[in-house]
Amino acid sequence: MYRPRADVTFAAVVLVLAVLALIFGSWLIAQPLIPLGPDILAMSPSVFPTLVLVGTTIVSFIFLASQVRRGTLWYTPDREEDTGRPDALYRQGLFVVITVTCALLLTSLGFLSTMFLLMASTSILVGNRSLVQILTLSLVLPLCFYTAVTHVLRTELPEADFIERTLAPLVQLLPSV
Amino acid sequence: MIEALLAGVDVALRIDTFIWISGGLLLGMLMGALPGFTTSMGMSVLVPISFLVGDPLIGIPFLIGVYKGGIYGGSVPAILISMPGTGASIATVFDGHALTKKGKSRKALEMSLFASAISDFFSDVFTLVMIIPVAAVVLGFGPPEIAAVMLLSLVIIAVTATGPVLKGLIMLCLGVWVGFVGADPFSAMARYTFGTSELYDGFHLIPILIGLFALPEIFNAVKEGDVSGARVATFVGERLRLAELRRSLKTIFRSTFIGTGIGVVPGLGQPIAAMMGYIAAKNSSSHPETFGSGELDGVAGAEAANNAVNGPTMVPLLTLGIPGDAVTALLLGAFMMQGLRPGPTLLTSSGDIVFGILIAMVLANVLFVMIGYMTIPFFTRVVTIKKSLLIPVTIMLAFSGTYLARGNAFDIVTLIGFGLIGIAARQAKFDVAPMVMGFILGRELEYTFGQTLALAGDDWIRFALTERFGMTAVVLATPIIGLLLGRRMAYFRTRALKRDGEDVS
Amino acid sequence: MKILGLQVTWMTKIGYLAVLFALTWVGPLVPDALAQYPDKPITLITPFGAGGSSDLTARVFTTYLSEYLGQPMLIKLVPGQAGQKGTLEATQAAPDGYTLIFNDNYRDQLHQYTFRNDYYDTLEDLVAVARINYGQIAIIVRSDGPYQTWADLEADARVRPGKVLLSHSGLWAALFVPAQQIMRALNLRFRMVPYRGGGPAKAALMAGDVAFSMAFPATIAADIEADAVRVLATAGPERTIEGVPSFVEIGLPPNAGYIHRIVLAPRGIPEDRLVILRKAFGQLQANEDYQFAMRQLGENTAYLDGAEYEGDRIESSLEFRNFVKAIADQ
Repeated sequence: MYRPRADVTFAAVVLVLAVLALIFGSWLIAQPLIPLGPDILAMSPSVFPTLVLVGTTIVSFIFLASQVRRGTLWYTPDREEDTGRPDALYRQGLFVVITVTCALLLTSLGFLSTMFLLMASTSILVGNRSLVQILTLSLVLPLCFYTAVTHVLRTELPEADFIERTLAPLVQLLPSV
Repeated sequence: MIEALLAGVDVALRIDTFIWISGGLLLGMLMGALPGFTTSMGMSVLVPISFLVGDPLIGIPFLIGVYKGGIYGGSVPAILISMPGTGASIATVFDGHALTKKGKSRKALEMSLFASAISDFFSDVFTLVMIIPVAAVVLGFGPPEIAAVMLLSLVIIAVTATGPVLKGLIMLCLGVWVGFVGADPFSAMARYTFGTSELYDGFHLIPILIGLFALPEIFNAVKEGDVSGARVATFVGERLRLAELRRSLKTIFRSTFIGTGIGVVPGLGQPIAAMMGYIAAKNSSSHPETFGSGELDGVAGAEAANNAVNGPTMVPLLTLGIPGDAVTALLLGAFMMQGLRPGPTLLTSSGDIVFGILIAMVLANVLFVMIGYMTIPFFTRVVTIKKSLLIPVTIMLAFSGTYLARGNAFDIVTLIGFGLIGIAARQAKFDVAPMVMGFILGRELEYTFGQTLALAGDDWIRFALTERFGMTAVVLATPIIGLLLGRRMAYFRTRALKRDGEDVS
Repeated sequence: MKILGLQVTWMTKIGYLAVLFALTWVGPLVPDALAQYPDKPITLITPFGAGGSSDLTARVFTTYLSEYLGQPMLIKLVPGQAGQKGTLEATQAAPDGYTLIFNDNYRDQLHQYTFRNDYYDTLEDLVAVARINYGQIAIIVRSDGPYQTWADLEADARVRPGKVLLSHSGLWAALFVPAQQIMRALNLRFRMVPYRGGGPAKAALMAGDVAFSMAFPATIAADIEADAVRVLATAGPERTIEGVPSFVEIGLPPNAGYIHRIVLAPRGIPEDRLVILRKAFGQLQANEDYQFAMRQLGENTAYLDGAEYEGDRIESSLEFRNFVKAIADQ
């Protein structure tokens, strides 16, 4: 079973996306509501993207063609690749799932909860086995960070109402900047 | 004018000025080291403080100190955890993080500091002395010239990226295309947004930076899943030796020159300066192939260039009252709050204050080195922490930094998305730097190109040849420069591969 | 390891974490305590380019306003897409009174007819807190340029239609719309070159890239003083500068070339917070230093309370709709 080399796959994906974007250009790019002549409107919204997409198509095509010519399309495991521990793929998949979930839930769950979940799971995934360390890190650090940012830098972070209101008076107690 | 200069010296050399500038520098460094907390955000927080100080000669150098400190501060996470906090530190990641892995993080940070301070000093002196001529030159750079210089930069970046030129070009085009997502810069029409309001805003730089550079590192650590408690580097290494600094002086001065030049052209900015400084350093070296795996010169080239930009950037603000970017806009606000009105009359009416500020800027660089040097041991401790502790902190910073940059939850999704792209690109051995630079430059290029079309009108041939010959010259030179550079890079690459006994591909 | 005497396995550890995590969900069930508004800084989104008259005006009034609010008002510059980026951000922000937007009448009342927008409707989604002031635009040229009066410029434009260059701050923005009004009313054709805001547009004029531009007093006050810029006409029915014709004199409608600078809030804002905000702006007007600073800028402080301005918004929007329709039908 032949598997294409990673860079060939990458370039092929780019090529396909570019071609699709070109074909569906008129659907994907909105046109101005009111027709304005070239005196008024400097450049139509589709000019540059079309230019660049054509360039992308050409360049990725040339790259793929050169790979075919050189016969380096397929993956040859002649070099020893370090894949780490055997359950690497499983861990990586879990990592992706967790980060995506946290990304989507940051605003609803709030900063502290999301960071707790994220840091705790990442700690376990990179091999930390000490419960104390994990808990301290995932609770204390986001808390410090939250305080520093909201109080010292006076910038907002998304946080569940309850937690924010509980922390606010405590934070106000700290010496003001 | 000389009297104003002397009066400025008198006013600048006060002890409270020094104290406030130092404070600004320190704050700037700390804020710059926090990824996602852009310098302009930090400055907005501090503008009210500068106003409370009451004296423009203290308040404004304070802010400028924050600005300078911030540019250097951005190199700290770039070097230590491969997370560029701002566009200016992209080029610092390449060799900076490699040096950390080799156990030389302290050297890298110190080189970054010295390079930044030295170049900033000379660039500020240049601004001080040449402020009037520079103002004239700045005005001479219109959209056509800027567009041409950007095109040239893009070509240079694509051609000098690690790996074959074709791969660099693919990533460049991809980056430029990513910049198109959102509203178009002229008529605000939605492009590639699939009807969503989040995408209408377009992608933001910070999540792309963090996603492309930092997340693959985290992903690798997860892959290894090491229980043995490895560290990023087991030791911080020794200090920078004077000989090493001296060896890089030529690079530093070259980058100062490049950075100052780029600072004069409105709209280019620090990321381009840093990149060009890095590429120039790589190209002038006798062994370009080692760049990317831990060359001090690489760090020097990038960091010197990005600090040299901020001297000339002040010129349009001070002489014409026109701020070039968000930071100078803040300074404009600060000026006005102090009762100064930037514009053609500023130099004549408040010349002593203007020169006082510029002189304070020059002197700030000395303080810069001292304060920076004291903070380095604190920062370098970071890499001696166990990876299993450091990686979760890194990911917290990645998420927080992304959110901090804009307060937009969709940025986190962008972060993950580009993290995946970064991981894929690393697997496929595509260099992500051209993609980021393509993103940064692509949007500006489109805008200046459109402006050029509007300025040219129908008889664009006459326009190109007579009115805007500078632009034409650069555009014609671009393919030539690209070819020459590309050939030189390819030569060194094959030489290195042959030396390692690998198949030349 | 043992916790509380129990042998803790891997599963149990994860269980503990899960329980701790679940506790954070209890939060939303606890009733929201009443807070004193404002108890943290308020963000003022400013969807303008750096250094233009609107940016400068915002910086001035936010400085003095904090005294009446008890919290600073921080400016967040969000330029881009003819102000839509900033407006979008404001309409999507939580309507809790901590995010406001500083906009102008063109973006508030005209853009809905010129930009396809499925995401917000300014009249529906935003409510006026205060009209800070209004500005009358001026047509400017370089003092060392060939145009001494408006008549010169007009004559040149008639002789070379489409060749006289004008720099503006963005499509359908404060410099663009008056230019369109001039072109329609006087049947002229300029070529319009876009820039990222009033500041860069003026810079283009000073560099000699374009023949003329438009600007508000704040942007050009220093340049007029230095005699670098000459004003050819000013908006409004009456002359504001001696010897310089008004827009009405050169043939335009009386309200052409006016910008109204408005502070708005997302419409869901609690009524009591809106009242606090409006009151603060009202109190600001009595501040001597504020008045002085605005005068320094060259701008007036023709304040109008938000509630009063709401009626003007709707009326003005209808006028703009007709104007745009007339252009589209050409």
